[in-house]
Amino acid sequence: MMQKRNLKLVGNAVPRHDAAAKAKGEQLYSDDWTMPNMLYAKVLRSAYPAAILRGVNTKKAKALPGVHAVLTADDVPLNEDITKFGQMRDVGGGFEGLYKVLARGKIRSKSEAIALVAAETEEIAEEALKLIEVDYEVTEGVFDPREALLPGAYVVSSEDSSNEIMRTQVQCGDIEEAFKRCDVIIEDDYQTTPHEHAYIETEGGMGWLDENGVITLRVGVQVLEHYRTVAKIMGLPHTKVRNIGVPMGGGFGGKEDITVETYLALLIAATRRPVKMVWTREESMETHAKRHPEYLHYKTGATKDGKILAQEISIVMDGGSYTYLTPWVQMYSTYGAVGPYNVPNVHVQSVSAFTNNTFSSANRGFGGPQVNFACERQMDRIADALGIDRVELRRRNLMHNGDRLPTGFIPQGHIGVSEIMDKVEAELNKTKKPDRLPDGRKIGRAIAVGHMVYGRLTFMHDSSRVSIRIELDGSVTVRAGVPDLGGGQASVICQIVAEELGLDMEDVHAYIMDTHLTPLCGTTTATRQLYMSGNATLKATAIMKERLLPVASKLLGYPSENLAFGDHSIYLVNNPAIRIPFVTVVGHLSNDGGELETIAQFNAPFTEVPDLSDIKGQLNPDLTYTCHGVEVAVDEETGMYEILRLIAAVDAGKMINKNSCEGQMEGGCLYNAWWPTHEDLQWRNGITKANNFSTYYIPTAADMPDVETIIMESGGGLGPYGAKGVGEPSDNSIAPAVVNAIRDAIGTDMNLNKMPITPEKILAAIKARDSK
Amino acid sequence: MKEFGYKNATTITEALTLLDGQNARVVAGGTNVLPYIRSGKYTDCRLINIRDIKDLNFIKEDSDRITIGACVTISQLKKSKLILEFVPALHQAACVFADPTICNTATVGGNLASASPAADTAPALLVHDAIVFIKSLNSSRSVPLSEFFKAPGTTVLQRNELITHIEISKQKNSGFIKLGMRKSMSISIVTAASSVTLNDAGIISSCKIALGAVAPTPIRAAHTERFLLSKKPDDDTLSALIKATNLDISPIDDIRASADYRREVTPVMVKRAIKLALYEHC
Repeated sequence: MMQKRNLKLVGNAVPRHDAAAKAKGEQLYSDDWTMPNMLYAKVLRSAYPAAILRGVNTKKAKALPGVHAVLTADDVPLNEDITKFGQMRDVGGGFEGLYKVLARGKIRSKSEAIALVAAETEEIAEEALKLIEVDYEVTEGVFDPREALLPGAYVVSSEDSSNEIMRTQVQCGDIEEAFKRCDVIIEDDYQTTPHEHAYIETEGGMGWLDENGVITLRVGVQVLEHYRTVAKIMGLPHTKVRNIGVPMGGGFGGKEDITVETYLALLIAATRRPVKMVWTREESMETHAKRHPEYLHYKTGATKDGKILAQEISIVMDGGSYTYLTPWVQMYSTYGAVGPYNVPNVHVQSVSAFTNNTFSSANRGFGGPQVNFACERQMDRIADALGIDRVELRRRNLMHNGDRLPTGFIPQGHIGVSEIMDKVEAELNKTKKPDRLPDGRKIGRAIAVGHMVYGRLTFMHDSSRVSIRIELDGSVTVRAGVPDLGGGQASVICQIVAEELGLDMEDVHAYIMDTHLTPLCGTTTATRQLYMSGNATLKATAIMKERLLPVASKLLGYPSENLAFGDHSIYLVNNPAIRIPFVTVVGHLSNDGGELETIAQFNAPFTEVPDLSDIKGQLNPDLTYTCHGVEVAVDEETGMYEILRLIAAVDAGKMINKNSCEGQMEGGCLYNAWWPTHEDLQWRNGITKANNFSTYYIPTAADMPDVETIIMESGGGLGPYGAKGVGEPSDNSIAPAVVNAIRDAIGTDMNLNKMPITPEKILAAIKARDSK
Repeated sequence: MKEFGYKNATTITEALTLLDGQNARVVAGGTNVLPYIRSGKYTDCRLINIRDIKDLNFIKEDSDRITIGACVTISQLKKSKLILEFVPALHQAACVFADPTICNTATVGGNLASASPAADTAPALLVHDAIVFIKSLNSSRSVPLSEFFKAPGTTVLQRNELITHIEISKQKNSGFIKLGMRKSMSISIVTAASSVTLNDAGIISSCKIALGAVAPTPIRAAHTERFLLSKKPDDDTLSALIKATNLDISPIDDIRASADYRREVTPVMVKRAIKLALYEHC
């Protein structure tokens, strides 16, 4: 635990450094940049989810007046590489899949890019797409990963001989023997649907060739380090590609994979003109990765006093058309499948497979929400079978400090899940309504818990660097390659600098996400920026303080260890009246030839790639624990339901920015609340039927109550000031809480295990219940 | 996005002249026209904007009729005291229509002319015996709304014609209800409107039921109306209308719901629409 410290800025609802610009609409996003002479680019996507590409004739398209380039795979210097996600080393072991820039050989899904066009206007570019003649040999395809894994199944790729991406398992104890000692065993199948990120800003950006021959991009992306892949594809040194990142209108994992960067670079090189590409909503939804659909089988055994003895779990994941982050996501699903419970006997097996669906990759929660859904459904059902209160059953099995995960790893951070669950239970019971509303709708309530890691897989050897420079007027510039998705990732770094150096937020200027000018912070993914870059920032400020304190000590005549930073001064701790202005100390340091600039690096714990046939030990730095409480009203004549209360609780360790922390908890809660029931992409044989917001139902403000947040601060995190990450954990336990609340209302489990759980299915369950 | 010709008409005559014999399309609110352009349904034509024509934007009251100009927006319907008092079903339809930004620009004439089976104003107007007044450069005609729709996206309107206004009868006991996947910005799965009159004995003496999104066009539900006539609108009656309602509808499976689900919930929506219409009697 951290020592108590009097913090002035950290923990408060400090306005973010970019809040005013966003509120006034002055923030420029990817599509807001233009340049003289700029061309517009479009991608030709495959007309079929499964086919063999026989040929592409671009002659007519090239001849269209106003068209400046039409590129196919033959025009790409290196068309095939491995997928990288900013990691500082090649991990190997099957974790990096194929990145194919433009289609060649087998077409694996409708999202496959066949050709690129750059033209004077968007209209001409669209017209040119229609003139490209593609010779397809349409093939049957396979759209269900369970079928894809059967012998003799259609093989999705031309590069592999089978559809299997990865197979892995975690085990502990003796599962067979343990089931014999169980009084009740619940066994069932669960299914989760693909899930769309639904960011308001679609993928896009622009770029140009600068005066030094550097391909310069302005693309909003969660992984600035994709510049290395772009350079490799172009056959250029890493130094010749630069991404000046742009603040994003949402990412949620969907902009972790490379998007427009390579396409822009190829077209810029081909035309030597600035080029812009922005995907339409339909293109975005049909093309970018989705949360992995999972097919899960859970067998859970417990004794009659409610002690869970054994869990046997098998998971089949739909990886879609390309590998991308599937193996990494699979690690999270496999490792998180038993939930935050002490289960002595565990066997989790998972396998992922290619299909001709849109590829699956990162989506906020990263393999966590799927297994959490199944696990928390199981918990309610075990409780019901045993006649034990559903919250009480959880209480009897939850992990506490010192307990081991099924891999044998003992989390180092505080395990506060039972404490937050108690708080949610008390809050949910405060407003107990009658079982029915006056309009006849039936009330249901439920609580679900979850655990979700923050920080990347430790075998990726993750690191982050942050630089600070103190100006002669006492203001500070922070340079950090932190992609800002809107979660306040950059602002929190400014807040730490201001806190540590005794300054105000206004004194700290953030210059972020420019691969030529900012130290690389690594990805804004894996709920890692506060943990990684926050710690790097603390390190950098500590270095600067070490330089400033001796100067102040000399000037004030007191030893350094008795001095502290605050109110733009360095002062004597036990007599703050004795002080010297910060700017004066900076002036002296500069005069004495001291360094006013520094860079610091923070490294996460490093481990080696695990044995996939028996994963043991540490996989991530630490975990964050959440609990959600939900109250619903179900219309038993239509199967429609309304969420009346949403309670979102977390042990955040320490809130750095109260607004941002609460904002993440609210946003995460709404992000997955409708995933099980409303957010259905309606995939049909590789076609995305619901490809815009009129048919893919994300909730509107009218559909959701205010989210009530409960934030516990145990101080037990590995981030700065004892903070834990909350970005992804915030969406983890909400989906099962919603479905379990519907179950509580309607009194039957029928149709509630396989998403999408539509009103029609809920109505059918109610009718079946009534006809019994 | 395609490039389109655009002309702003300021009078009905100017609009009709621009429409006559030309490859032109009317645009008022633009909430359907712009998606049509994006999807390629409209190509290479001239858009004639009619939203600035003052003579198309009014809500008027006669002794037993209300007249609504074609360019009255959904927001105007929502705010109108006349509509609230004398056409409650239409008020309720306006309240659940799309979202505030769409309501501020979408027009009642456009909602009808687009002829979506799920057009939210249509069932409400049908139970108020709406008559659609149509003009071309050289002629005028009026068509009952029940004969106005031909098929999804198709009406009796010719390319050179314009809806000028809609006339409806006052009826204080009407109601509208919508079933959609969201409370806002949701295209209907089923809509139901009703207009009901009871005699002194509490028996239904006249009754009109209209339904949306369960047939190729918004429809009047003749079997349901006949079933209800001369009955008391009690729970027994309302629970027994399933059979009649299912004779009225011909729903399909679409991206929003299956035909089976629509068959399950349409009678429920009819029941609720009747209860809404009779709310003050309860």
